[in-house]
Amino acid sequence: MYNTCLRITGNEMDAEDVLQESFVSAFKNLSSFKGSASFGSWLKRIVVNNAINAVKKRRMNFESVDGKEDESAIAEPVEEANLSYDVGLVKEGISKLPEGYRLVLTLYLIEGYDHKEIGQILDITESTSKSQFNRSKKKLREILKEELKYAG
Amino acid sequence: MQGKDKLEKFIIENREAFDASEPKEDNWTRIESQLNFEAQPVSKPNVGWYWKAAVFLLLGAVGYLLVDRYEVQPTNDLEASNVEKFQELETFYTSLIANKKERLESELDSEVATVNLKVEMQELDDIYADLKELFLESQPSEQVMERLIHLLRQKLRVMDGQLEILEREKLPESMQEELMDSSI
Repeated sequence: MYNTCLRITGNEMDAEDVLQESFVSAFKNLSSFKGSASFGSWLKRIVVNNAINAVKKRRMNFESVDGKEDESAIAEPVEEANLSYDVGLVKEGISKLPEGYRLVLTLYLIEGYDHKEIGQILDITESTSKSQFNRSKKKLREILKEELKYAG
Repeated sequence: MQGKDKLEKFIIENREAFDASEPKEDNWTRIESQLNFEAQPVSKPNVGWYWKAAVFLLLGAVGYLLVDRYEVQPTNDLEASNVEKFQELETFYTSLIANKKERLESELDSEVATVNLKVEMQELDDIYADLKELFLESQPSEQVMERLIHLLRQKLRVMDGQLEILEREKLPESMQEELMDSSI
């Protein structure tokens, strides 16, 4: 849960505040847990929503894109096949992404939400979530390419 | 994983490795101070009970336990009466649950439905067991007791829901449709 907070808020201080606020509010509102989802998902949703609210206070922007996404952003670059990724490097890369990009990418790839759920969580359309995700992946690749260049 | 590129696959396959950060220890102290439990007279050092409070919330989500094995007996009348009251309520609800469980087991003929129900029950049982341990060992407050009873009622509600579906399935199709219409 702490790692989820950290990934969404992007800094330790906010992550700890969100974790604290979420646990306290979950405990006090345990009676509202209806059992329609698993307890873990219920608690995680509280944590994610609170973390998003913390980020929203810092004014997060999403580029709304309707229709088809630019294919060049979706396609996997040929040279990627030869790259060997490292968790530390990818984590570092994700932390360097702009806020909106980081959120969609981590919610989709690490927290495991689908684009419909991300749309509900972030109050954006499903297609905006998809396009934002493709852009964030493209941006992350660029960052990783730079990092790998310096790492030799 | 179909249709996912190398970067996506790498992140998804290594999700757990992205969860390596730990919050500072004093974070749990801050959570404890906000949970507003009544102060408990202790006969043994009560270090770390707040871990338990936080951990029971974490259980369903992260699937690990941090339980300190020590015993602190309730030392005042209020606590003793809470424990007694809880035991009576627990006996009442567990007998209701046992009845319904027996009915469900005899009526559920789909293996998938049985397994799903068992998984759901187990999840509630796990949370219940840890909260009960917290209640009996160090926090016999009304607040924790209410949450324990809420979990037992929750279990009954899940079973009732399942029984209702089974009853409905036994009815002729025309009556099922009527029921659907009236529920709308």
